[in-house]
Amino acid sequence: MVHRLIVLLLICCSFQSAHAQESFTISGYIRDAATGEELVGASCYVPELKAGGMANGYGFYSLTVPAGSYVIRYGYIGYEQLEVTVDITAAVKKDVELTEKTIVIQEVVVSGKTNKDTNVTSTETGTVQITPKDVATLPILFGEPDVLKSIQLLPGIAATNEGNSGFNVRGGSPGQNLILLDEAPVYNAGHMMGIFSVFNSDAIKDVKVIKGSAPPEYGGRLSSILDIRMKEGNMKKFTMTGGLGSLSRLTLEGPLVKDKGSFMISGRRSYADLFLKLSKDPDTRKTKLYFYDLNMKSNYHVGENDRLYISGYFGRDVFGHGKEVGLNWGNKTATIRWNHLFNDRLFLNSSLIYSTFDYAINAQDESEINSIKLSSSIRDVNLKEDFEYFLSSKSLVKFGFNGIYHTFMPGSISGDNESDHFSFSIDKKHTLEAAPYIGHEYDVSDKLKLNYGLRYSLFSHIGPGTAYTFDSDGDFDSERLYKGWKIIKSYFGPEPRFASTYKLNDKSSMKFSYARNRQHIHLLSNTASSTPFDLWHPSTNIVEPQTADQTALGYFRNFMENRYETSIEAYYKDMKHQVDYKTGANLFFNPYIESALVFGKGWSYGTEYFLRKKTGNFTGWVGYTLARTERKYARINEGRPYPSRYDRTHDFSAVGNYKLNDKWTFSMSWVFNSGDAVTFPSGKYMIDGKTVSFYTERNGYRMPSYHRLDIGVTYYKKKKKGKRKQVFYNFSLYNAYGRKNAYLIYFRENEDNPEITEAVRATLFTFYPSMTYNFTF
Amino acid sequence: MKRDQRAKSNTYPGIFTLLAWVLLTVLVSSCSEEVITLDLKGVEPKIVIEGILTDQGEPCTVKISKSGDFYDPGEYPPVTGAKVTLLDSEGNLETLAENAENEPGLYRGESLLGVEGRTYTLIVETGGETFEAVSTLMNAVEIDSLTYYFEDDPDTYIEEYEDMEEGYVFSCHFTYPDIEDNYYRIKLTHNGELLHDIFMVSDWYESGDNVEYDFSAYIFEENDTMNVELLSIDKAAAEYFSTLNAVMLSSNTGPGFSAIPDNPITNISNGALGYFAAYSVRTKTVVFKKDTTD
Repeated sequence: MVHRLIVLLLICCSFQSAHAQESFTISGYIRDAATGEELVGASCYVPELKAGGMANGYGFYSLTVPAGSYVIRYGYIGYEQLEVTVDITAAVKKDVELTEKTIVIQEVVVSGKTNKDTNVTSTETGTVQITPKDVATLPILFGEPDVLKSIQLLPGIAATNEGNSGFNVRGGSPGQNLILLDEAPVYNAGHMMGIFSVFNSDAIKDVKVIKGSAPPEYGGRLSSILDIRMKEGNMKKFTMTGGLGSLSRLTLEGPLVKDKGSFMISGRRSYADLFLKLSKDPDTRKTKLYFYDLNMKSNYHVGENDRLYISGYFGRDVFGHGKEVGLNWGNKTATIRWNHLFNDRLFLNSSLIYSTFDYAINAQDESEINSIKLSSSIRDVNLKEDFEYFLSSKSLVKFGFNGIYHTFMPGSISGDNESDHFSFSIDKKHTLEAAPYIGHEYDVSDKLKLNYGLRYSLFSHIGPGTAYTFDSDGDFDSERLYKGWKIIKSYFGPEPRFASTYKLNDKSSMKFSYARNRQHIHLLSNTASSTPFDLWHPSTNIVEPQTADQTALGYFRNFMENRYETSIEAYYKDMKHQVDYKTGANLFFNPYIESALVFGKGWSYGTEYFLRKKTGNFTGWVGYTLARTERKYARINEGRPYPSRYDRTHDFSAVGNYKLNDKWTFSMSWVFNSGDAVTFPSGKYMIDGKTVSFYTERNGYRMPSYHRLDIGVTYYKKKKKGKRKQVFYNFSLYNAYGRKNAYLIYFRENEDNPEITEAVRATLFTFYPSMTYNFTF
Repeated sequence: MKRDQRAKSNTYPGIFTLLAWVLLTVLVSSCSEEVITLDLKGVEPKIVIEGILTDQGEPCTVKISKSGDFYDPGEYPPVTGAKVTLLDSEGNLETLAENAENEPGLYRGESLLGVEGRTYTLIVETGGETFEAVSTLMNAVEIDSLTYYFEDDPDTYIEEYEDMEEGYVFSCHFTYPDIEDNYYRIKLTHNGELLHDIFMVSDWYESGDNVEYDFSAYIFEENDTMNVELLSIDKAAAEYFSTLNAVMLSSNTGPGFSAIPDNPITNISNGALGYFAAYSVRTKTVVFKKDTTD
């Protein structure tokens, strides 16, 4: 299978180059005229040849066409289309700038193809691209625009919990999502237990979600890829944007050297804790509870063909009570990227990436004699080499390599008491991950497009470290120590990827995709909510890599000159070596954690319906998902399959944004979903004089169905003539009709009569209003 | 990893619990609660067996009842007329008798007593079904002492004690013995009422370690009587009690902040609920008195 794929690839490549003589290449960058930011995914199209391409993740495009004079049409959603006539008699370098639509105009009816029909023409299934601008006016809990909460409104993607930025995709668990910020993996994407995401919308340029059928350049997680790119910084002028709502935000950006280099720096901090200081209660005054984050990026055009980017993220949550207790956690990422053009057809991106997540807990008594400190972390050093070779206007080859060195520090404790100092730590674990890949995007004909390739994933758990074995009861059996760089256990395997689009006509297409993904690191969490104590654990001699095979089939159709996009997708995902844990397992600070794990399989399938209007005064979408997700473990539920905790049968969302005029924009979102699977007791009995719940099956019940309406209004203050300052206010109301949704249901004995047991529904957030003030200078 | 260092870190679960609770409180502060009625499935009544044998010279007692539906009032029908047999590893056998009139469902032995080091098998036959459980009576561990002092500025994370500005705090001391696979349960009774029930894992300690179990989060008044029972239990009983504890915790906090609930892991065969535990127990009592020496 693998060999045949490679041979096929080589044949296609050679076939292409044989016919590419007499042709010349036009290449360059597509940018925003106002800020100089590269437009990821902008399109270029030559109507005469019915050929075109898309700008890559760095805004670079390359088209190879027979010599001649052509009209080239450049476009990007929300931007004015640009037509340029170019004589191509030699290689041409053409950078273009597109202007954002500012005035609301009647949609120009464009015949033929533009970027507007990428919904139909691209080979991607289960992929959605959004920009923070698209969702800036949506009503969100606490009023802060949040890309993670916005993507939860898309079909196939669900929030893990009320008001939480954590998400699960097509029945996968949150730990099966690869969240990338400028290519750096982000291991814990939530502030304040997930109430806010760590992504500051002011600092983000572009967000791409891939629900499983990822092209070969991506890999490492089973469920989804969330590829977030930070803004590069305005190349033309200095600007300052900021706001005040639940959080305070400030972003500065501007050119370092005009049109050659720029910077962006953006920070946020929650400030509600400042009010704690005003409290009369001395205990409350001693409480610390806040978070902050900082995004920085800078880029510079070193020469005609080289561009350097440096970006970083630093965020921290802090919680404490006087000097007695302190807890803090957060992510740090840093990315150095170098884009190099070898020639007008061969593009290279090299990235060196660092990413870490850690938490620390400190406690001491009032005498300050007894103290204890706990900490845990995961750290990655990551090298990526991504080549893009634009063979012709119909053929693009991508190949490269990704290598990651992970260091897991599950936990260490140190402290002092009256008599001595003590310390103890669980062994660090070191692993190496590597994945070469090659992929080919190829337009076979006007009708048929292919994107296929192969990623080969290699993984080794290496020393220094200890490998444990356990007996069938899960008791410690043996341990073996390994020295540095000695291989403890290796796993490897191919990840074939295939995606195709067949155009039925100008308006509609059928798509098919298949992808295998392998995941070598596993998120162990004993709660449904994301907490900083969730633990990442590598594959070892005991824990095998998770794998998933996903097949998806879709029908895509656009209506009314591409103003409406619709799609229906069906998928089936088969997952192996899934990880769960035994009843009563302690995941926290347990050196023998592997003995507490159980392994099984899972599958999920479903259909997703999506209708979206992307342009005009009224924009928005309607999404519906009908799905099923099950798990099967020999040691859970007596070996019978059971619904996963992320199993949600019906999930509906409607999102609307109406721009009344230059001053007022109204927005709403309504969500409805049937309840997730949950384990409730069916009976009860008495042990030791206490009532104990009796469970008959895993996840055999459903939470009550959930629905909620959020509304928002945005008011843009009129810009004064000649002034650059722009101010807008956003008001929103979360859960506008006060539906009492169940955040959780728990069981207790009745206070007056302990013989009676009752179920209690806890509800968060009804009628929760927020307001934010935003400005741009 | 050095085990003697690990032994001293036994204060950490307290801190973690504290943090988890504070974070939970923060989130749930904007939370409203309401009792609702769920449509829960009825369940075929299950046999519940609670068998206890100690080394205290008392014969074995076995309580047999049936489970009820969740919304039933707390009536757990006793199972009468069962045949309950106890065997020990020395080949002794006794049938436990029921006083069906006064204490239906309660079966007591007479002559077969708990002896350290022996393994006991309990067999219950009722309704055409047979349930079996095995438990080893572990060697006893003595409580060396209970120490206490008066604290004028106590530090606690337990809500009920937060208002107490001063009071007595105490700890329990014992020496870790040279026994394999030994687990502990400590039961704390305050003026006759069960206050605290904890479990400890054996491999945290090495023989000869002096273990101090610190109860400083509890604050007591003068003349309060504290009774500490130190139970030495076998692995199966430890697994039962600790998973029972986890179930109690998760059904109280819901799915958001704890593991998916499941039934405790029992040592009884054939699908009965409950447990059979043979264990040794040592007890010490202390009454808090004003220190007259200073």
